Amino acid sequence: MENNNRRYFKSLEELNSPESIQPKEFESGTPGKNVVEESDFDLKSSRRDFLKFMGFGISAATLAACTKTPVKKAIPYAVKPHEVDPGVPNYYASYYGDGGYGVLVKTREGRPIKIEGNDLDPLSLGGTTAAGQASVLSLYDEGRLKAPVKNGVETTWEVVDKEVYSGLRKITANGGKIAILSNGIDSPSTLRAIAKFKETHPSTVHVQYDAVSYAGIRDAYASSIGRSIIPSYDISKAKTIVSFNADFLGTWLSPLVFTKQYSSVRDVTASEDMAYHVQFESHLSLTGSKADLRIPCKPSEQGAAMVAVYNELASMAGASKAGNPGSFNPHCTSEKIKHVAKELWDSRHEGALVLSGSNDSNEQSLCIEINKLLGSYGKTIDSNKEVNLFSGNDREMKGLISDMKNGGVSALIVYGANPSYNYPDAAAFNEGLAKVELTVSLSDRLDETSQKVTYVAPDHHWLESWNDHNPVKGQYNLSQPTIPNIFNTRQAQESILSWGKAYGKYYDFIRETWMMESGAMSTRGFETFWKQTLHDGVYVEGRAHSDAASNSVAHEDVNTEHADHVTEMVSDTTVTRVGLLAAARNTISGERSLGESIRDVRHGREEVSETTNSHSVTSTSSSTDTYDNSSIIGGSVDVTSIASTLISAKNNASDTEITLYQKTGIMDGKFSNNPWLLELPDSVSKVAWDNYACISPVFASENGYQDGDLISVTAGNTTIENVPVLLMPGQLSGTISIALGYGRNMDSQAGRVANGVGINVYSLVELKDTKRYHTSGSISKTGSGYELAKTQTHHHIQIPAGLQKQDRPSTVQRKADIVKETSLGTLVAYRGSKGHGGDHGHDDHGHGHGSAPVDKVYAGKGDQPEKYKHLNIYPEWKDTNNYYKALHWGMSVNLNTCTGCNACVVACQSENNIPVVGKEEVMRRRELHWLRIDRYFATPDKKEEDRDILYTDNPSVMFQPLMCQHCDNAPCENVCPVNAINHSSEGINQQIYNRCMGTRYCANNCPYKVRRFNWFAYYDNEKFNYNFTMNSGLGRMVLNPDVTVRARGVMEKCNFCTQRIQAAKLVAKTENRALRDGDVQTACQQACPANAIQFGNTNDPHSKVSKVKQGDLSYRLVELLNTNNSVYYTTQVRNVKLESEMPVEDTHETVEAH
Amino acid sequence: MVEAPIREPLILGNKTYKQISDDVIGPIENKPSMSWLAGFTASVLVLGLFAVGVGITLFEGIGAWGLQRTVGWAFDITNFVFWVGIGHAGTLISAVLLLFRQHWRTSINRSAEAMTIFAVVCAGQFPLIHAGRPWVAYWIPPLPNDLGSLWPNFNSPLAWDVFAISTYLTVSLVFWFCGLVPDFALVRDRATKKIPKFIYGFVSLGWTGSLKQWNRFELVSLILAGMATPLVLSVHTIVSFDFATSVIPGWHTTIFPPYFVAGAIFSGFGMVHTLLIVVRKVMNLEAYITINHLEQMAKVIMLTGTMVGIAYGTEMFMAMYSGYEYEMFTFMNRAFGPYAWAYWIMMSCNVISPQVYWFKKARTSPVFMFIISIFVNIGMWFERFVIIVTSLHRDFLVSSWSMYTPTWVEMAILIGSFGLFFTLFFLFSKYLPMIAVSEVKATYKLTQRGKDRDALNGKSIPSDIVYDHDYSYSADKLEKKTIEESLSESHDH
Repeated sequence: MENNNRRYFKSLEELNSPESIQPKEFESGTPGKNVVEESDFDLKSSRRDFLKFMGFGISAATLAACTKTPVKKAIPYAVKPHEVDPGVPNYYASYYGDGGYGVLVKTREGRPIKIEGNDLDPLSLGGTTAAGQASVLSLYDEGRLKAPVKNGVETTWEVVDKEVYSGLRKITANGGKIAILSNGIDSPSTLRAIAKFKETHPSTVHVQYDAVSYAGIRDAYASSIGRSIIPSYDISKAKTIVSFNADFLGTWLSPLVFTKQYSSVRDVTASEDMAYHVQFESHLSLTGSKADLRIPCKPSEQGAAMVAVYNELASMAGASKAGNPGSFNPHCTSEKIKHVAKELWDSRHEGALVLSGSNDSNEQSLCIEINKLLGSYGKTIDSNKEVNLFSGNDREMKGLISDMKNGGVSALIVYGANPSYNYPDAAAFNEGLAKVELTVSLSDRLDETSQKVTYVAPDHHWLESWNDHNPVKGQYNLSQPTIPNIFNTRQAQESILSWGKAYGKYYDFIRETWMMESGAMSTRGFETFWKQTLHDGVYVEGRAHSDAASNSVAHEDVNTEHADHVTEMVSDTTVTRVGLLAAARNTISGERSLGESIRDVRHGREEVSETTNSHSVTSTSSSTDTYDNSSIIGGSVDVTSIASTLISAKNNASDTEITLYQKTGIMDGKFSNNPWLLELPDSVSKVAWDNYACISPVFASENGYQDGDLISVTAGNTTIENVPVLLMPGQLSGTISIALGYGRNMDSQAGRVANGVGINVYSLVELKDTKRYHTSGSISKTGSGYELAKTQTHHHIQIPAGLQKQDRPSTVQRKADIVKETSLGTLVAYRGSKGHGGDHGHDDHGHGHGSAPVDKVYAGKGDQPEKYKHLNIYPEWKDTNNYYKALHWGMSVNLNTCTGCNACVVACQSENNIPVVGKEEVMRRRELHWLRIDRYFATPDKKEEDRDILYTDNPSVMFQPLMCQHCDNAPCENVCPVNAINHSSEGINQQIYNRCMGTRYCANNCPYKVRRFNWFAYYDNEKFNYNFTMNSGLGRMVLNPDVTVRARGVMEKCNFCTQRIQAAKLVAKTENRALRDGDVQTACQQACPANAIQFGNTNDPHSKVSKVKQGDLSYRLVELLNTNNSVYYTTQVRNVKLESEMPVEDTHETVEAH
Repeated sequence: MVEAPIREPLILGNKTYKQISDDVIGPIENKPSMSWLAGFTASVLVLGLFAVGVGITLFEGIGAWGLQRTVGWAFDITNFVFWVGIGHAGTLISAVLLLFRQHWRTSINRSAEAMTIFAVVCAGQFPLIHAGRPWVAYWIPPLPNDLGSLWPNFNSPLAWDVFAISTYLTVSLVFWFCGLVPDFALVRDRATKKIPKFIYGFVSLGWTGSLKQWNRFELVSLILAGMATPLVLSVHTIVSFDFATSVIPGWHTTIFPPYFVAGAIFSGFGMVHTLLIVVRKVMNLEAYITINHLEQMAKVIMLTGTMVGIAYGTEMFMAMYSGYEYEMFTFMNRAFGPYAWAYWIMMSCNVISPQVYWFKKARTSPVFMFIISIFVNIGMWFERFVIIVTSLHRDFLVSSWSMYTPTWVEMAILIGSFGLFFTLFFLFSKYLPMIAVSEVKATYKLTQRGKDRDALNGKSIPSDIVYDHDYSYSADKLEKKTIEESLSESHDH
């Protein structure tokens, strides 16, 4: 047959254009198609070629066969736990006891790797702190004890239990006194366990002791209203906040809670409703940095300043004054005092709040009186909703130590406290300890105290523990284990119970506690209630539980240890709801509430203590569950005598005063063997890995001190040698400040990171009736040349002398490109002139009428002006196929609400496996943090002649979290010779680690210097053994398996948590829907307690980040470079009310500079 | 060709062709002198320092250097640009001056070319060792690979560098080698021992000195000179793009290409000065590398030094005139900031010191010229240091400002790179003819034979002249003379 010329077709389309109907598997073409062309297969090989190839093939195969491939064994699950899916994280609700807030713990394949905030917890509302973020690393610290210890030698639990119990029995039988020394406990079941212990050993006293004490507040309330409480403060209801040295955003009481509240009254992106914040302090704290008016004030003057404010308020209220406080340092003028008092008085109806950070009950009493005058109780302070954190009692501790020294204590059980390290008179404690017959510690490591005791019964890490908590009245949190105990440790409560002969699992004990409280409920109702609480992590009286089904995060109520207890299906939502409501009803209206019984336990404790008689609470006063806040008005305190005490304290103060403060990461030093926290630069001083004496630059220049000098600090009988000096703008002349929590001296293994870092200054704490964190003293220079690891070395003032003349305009300009600041007045005037709110519109005409709050370099925000379009050398991504089609990621950072708390920095480090590089490397400016917080100082005063003095004594401070800006016109991308930086179609600069050859050109060309280089191999490298996330098998368990550990010699940087984006996309895909705003949360965003960071799709006009981007306060860094950043900053707005405090940017001069 | 009768002879001392051959080839044939041995040993020791520095860097990582998050380049790229710059004089002398028929170049071009190649070899070390992962450096050339068509980023000046430097090295090497061929043949023909005869015979590629070979030789020289000349301009232009295409104030400058080229020639001539002033003394080549040669180079140094000075001034002016505050700051910071000392070393060494060459006394005194040449070397090293470090250490965000201090490893590598350079140079001076014998002889005839020479020397040609094999003809002679004339001339021998 001849050739068939017919053409068969199925449709007209096929006939006309056969290609168009070909099914396409890949829209953008088959991968690899361009590599292998069809013509490549038309090979013409000769016989010779065949022989050559065969010869090569045989020899290659022979050579390859010479290497023995190592056999790697993987053991699969015999029975896969139902909740563990490889690659899928599980989240468990728990409670971070040392920060006092609820968290979610992210686990992967059975190991906790990350702490997230729990948005169901009314305290954290999804936020976390730096210390909380870092606590997951402590779980994998090889310094923890791996087994119980007797006299420094590892032993077995049987031995410890037998000997401790028989010892205790003997002591009880002989009528000896047993003391349990713990830190402040907010756990009802723990207190019940101690009460149980007491049943067996009736001679037991329980003393609670906090390294940083809040006993002054409790004492003040005890004398004022007869109840030893810490009330709840609610900053979110305040219009004017005046804080006397209470660093409530950084370290005071519950900074996380306060930051949440504070950010809600400080955000002006959409409204102009902004609280006014005044801070009196001597040391520049986070809180002082955010204040609208910061009044430097010596510690000794703070009480008197409060008297002055009280006097002003009293005269307005028609009450009598409390004595003449006299004059203060030059910063603290009577005009300012009057102004503060007037602001407080004017806002008393809307909500005023005065806080005192002092641990002096006199100051706290005066603070109560001022708040009374302002009518704050019931508005901004709730004395009914008492805070159960920091229940330590300094007097009891003092009593215990003197008892010990007198030989009055036969057995001491230390739980959660470390007085050998952090008690001011540690020597006295140690002396007493030596006289105690039986000493037991429940510490997780051989710390300063547990090195000196006979038995150490190591406690679980909190991520291995069960516990319950009652941080605030009416709220109950549960901790649950997220991993079985790694070492041979035992929950401390179980130890206490077993020594009290009440054996059992603590889990059952907690359930028993809770079941006792809700006794009216059926078992089934309790199970549901329990599981729901466990799932949520929190139970709030009067609030319904969350609906598990609607919860987007996979909270799971799983405990690995006690899975047998979980018998019912959680998905039975009907039962859940009914059970919940019943439980809530029962608990609220029941005869005995949970809170009440805890209080009983507490009172039990108070009855046995000897020193609280003066203000012990009678059981009748606590029989009613609620107190009327108005009852506090009736309290009677002699204001005049308090005032005269405070005034005389001021008048008798010495020239040099020392304040002791905490840093946001290390806090009181309990978890200082945590390299993430040690490497975390202090937000204000930007120093990592050390504590130091902050000295005012003015004072230093007058007295000849320099950065890096070593001084000895003397207060009373205590002298501390070799404290390095840091010239710290904002430190008041005549005062020095030193951070607590450093200078650990643990067992070499237990403290292998922390030992010897910094200096322990707890001995400077003054022991009066309560511990005082400021004291009088003197300093003298003993040496010099000590180098501190600063991540930021230059302030504006350090521009070289030759530049001083030019410095002023250019510094202002530079700052204006980088951090922008304006006043609320300017903003309101600007918005008024535009005739609408802040949501849209910006001043296209420059600074015509009412200067714009932000200098707009380019009018068309986000794009360069049309007339310059053609000048662009960068690729036009938008014209490129598929770029920015659906997603264009962007981030916004609200400088106004950001407090510089550092939670984001540690969150980023934890999420992205960022190595710790150590002090030496930080000193060489090689810290690897992808996200850093830049700190800028500015003078609050525009008068040139006063500038230097005021600048360094009381600068205004701005924090700016800085991560990769993900420029659309990225300078880093086009200079990489090997294409290791890729611009994703979603606008992310993707660093491809395994393509990078490490030329570092990208880092040089980055205007923001956010790129970080792996100078060394930070993993498996003895030189970096403090980086135990990568240098020990145990430490490596904390690594996020979704993120590569970067090799030596490659560049790395923030990638907008691309692994989270991918995870969210997968979830959306399985649910067959588009990504929604909020599906992707970067680690920094999730950690931020101030909601300052938003992340989302800027293509979506309704996304949160788009709204911020469109706002009139939004700007981008160094916009004149036209790098087209994807990170939008919101201008810092200060609610400036005093003319002298106006930010420099408002001055005519700078506005004209453009 | 116009000869200037009053011009001083390029080669002094009434050399005969044989004497020239003896003078130049002698060191190859004889045992090394003590001074050579001492110098070579010292160089190898310093090269050992280089090996130690590089070894530590490769073993530990770039962290062994003083670089950090803000200053990502310092000594490494400074050294790279410094050595590349030095590599400019050789090609300029051999190629550009060849094209311009500057006969004085013949005495110095061989060593200048050698210097070029060795300098480029030194320069080439730095891009390699400065990379975090040098073992993947082969990713930069566009090699076929199994990752799809994952090629280098042709937008990156670092990729351009690779092409520019490798092209330059190749062309320079070929040019140098071609010029060496007739001289290799001369060594071969004079050699008495078997092994040298074989080796030099091998590398002389069967050179017989036939007319055809001379013709090809001259043509190849011209073609290579034509190819090398634009490279002189392009290499440093492209190196300057490493900085000019960035966004960093102080780097992002359009003046960089001409400014870098001028600086490179400046530093290259400086280094030629340094070397030749020593070499002519040590190797007894004063007759060939005369004061006249040195003076010519001093003039080039003065010219290019002035050009560099104008470039500095222009940069500063443009920064102040631009209204671009970051750039204004960068330049003020250069001049008055913490690295001001480096800036003023650069200014005084590069701009002020060559100005003494306005005085004839200065540019005819070898000692003085040696001192100035050292200044030029130092100044030009600091120029690169100033450009790189002072621009980076304080750029846009005040928060990132920092100071850079080198570690001993970097110092060792910098010093050691001189060891590498001098080791190669000593080897060259021992095993290769340091002066282009054939070209010198050609020049010699042109400038010194006949009545001019007689007039200058005041005497006639000695009668006892014994000509050895003389293959030297210059290109211009070929143009002028007929083949018969040439043949008849060679019959003279």
